[in-house]
Amino acid sequence: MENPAVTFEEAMKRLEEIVRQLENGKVPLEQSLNLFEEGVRLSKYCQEILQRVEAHAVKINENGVIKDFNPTETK
Amino acid sequence: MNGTTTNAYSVSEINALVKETIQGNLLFRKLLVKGEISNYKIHTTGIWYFSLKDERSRIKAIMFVSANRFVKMPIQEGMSVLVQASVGVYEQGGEYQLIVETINPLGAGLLFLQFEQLKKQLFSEGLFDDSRKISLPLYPFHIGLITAPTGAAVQDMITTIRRRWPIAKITVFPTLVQGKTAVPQIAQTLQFADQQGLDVLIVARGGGSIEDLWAFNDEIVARAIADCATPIVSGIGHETDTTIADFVVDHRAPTPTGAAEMVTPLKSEVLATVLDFRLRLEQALFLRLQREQERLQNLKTNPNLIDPFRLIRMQSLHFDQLAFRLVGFANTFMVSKKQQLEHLQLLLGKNFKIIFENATNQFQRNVAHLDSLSPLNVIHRGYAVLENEAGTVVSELAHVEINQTVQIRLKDGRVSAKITKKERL
Repeated sequence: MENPAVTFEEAMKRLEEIVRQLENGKVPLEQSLNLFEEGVRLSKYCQEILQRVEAHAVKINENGVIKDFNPTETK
Repeated sequence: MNGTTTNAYSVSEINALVKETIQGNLLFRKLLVKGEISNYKIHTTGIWYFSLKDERSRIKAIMFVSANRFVKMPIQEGMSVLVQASVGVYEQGGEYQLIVETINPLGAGLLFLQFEQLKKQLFSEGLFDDSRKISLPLYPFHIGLITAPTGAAVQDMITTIRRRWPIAKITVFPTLVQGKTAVPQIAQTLQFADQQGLDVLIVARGGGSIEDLWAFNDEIVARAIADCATPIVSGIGHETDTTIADFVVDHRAPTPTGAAEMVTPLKSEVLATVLDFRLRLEQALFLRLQREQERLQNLKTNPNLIDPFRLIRMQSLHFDQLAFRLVGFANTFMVSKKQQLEHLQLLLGKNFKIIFENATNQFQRNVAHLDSLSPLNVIHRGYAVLENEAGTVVSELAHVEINQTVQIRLKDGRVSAKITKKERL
């Protein structure tokens, strides 16, 4: 299973690299178009991820049982 | 008492009596006293002055250089200590004080000493080294909180993470954070959390007294943190609180909220970065296409591409021009050479004539001259040539003898003659 933290970070890095290459202007035209497409895809992907909102925090007790974490609990 | 002065003691007498009473009592010669240090001062002479106090009372104390120079531990205001001392009376001042022989930490003071020792020990093992510290992930998607499940600390952390970076999952690993049983529990929880494969961990607790925070100075907790493979941040107590845990973690935050801020980026900023990238992509491509467009346009209007024969024609014209010039030059050259030749021929002709004439004249002169030198001419003029019989010319008297026959050449023949007489001039 992919680690979302890793893939997001990689996506950001790759996106930055693509922008740099395109701004450089030394890439052949056809490749530029491909890079552009890839860049747009990555930026959409990143935007999507950023819109996510995690609903609940959870807590794990010593038995490994996961429960929703309710901060107002006293125990 | 009736107020007369006969039974009254003088001050000195009273003080002397008190001194005698106290110093006579064996108990006061050597006893152990516990209390908190207060008003600690080192005099220029090296003598220590302080007070020992408890909840209600205080007593002055003095420690001479002979005793205090053996003391290794640092003395701090408020420290709990156990001293071995005697009670001394300063008669003239009517005061008594402890004359301290030895002093040792007690309770919190002892703890403090242990803290310093552990710190030194772990430092020498390299547990605090920068090279051991792992960098935090830029975009954590799963954050673990090792902390008390109740209280402001955990709530603040969750609120902060939610506010800044709502994408992240949060898992709370509840544990005691103070008291005797806290130490093993914190260590176990850390170990457990480390194995869950989260992106980053926070170990935190709210503010409290030194004693409250003491679990995080424990060696077991410190080593459990050091063994964490997951990046871990501490947020313990208030800003001014520093525990050993704070030295061992990968990053230290001053408070639980600070820790939550440290591990999370700001969603709005990251989003802005992505949008900025997107904009730059479009701009870069647009510029690039524009450039290519210009290039194409330039090619389209290039005259050589429109009319490819143009170049050839131009070259051809150039060639013709050069050929024409070459021919012209050759002609001129030939004409000039021809002229030169004619000129030379003329000169030669002229010269030859002159030479010939000169030669002829010269010849005639020579002939004339030769002629004038000819003996025939001489003979013409009447001179004769004498020869003897041998045919040799006689030109001197010595050449002839008397009665010798000689030949004489005349202009038109010869005669023979005999010498009759010789006469020297």
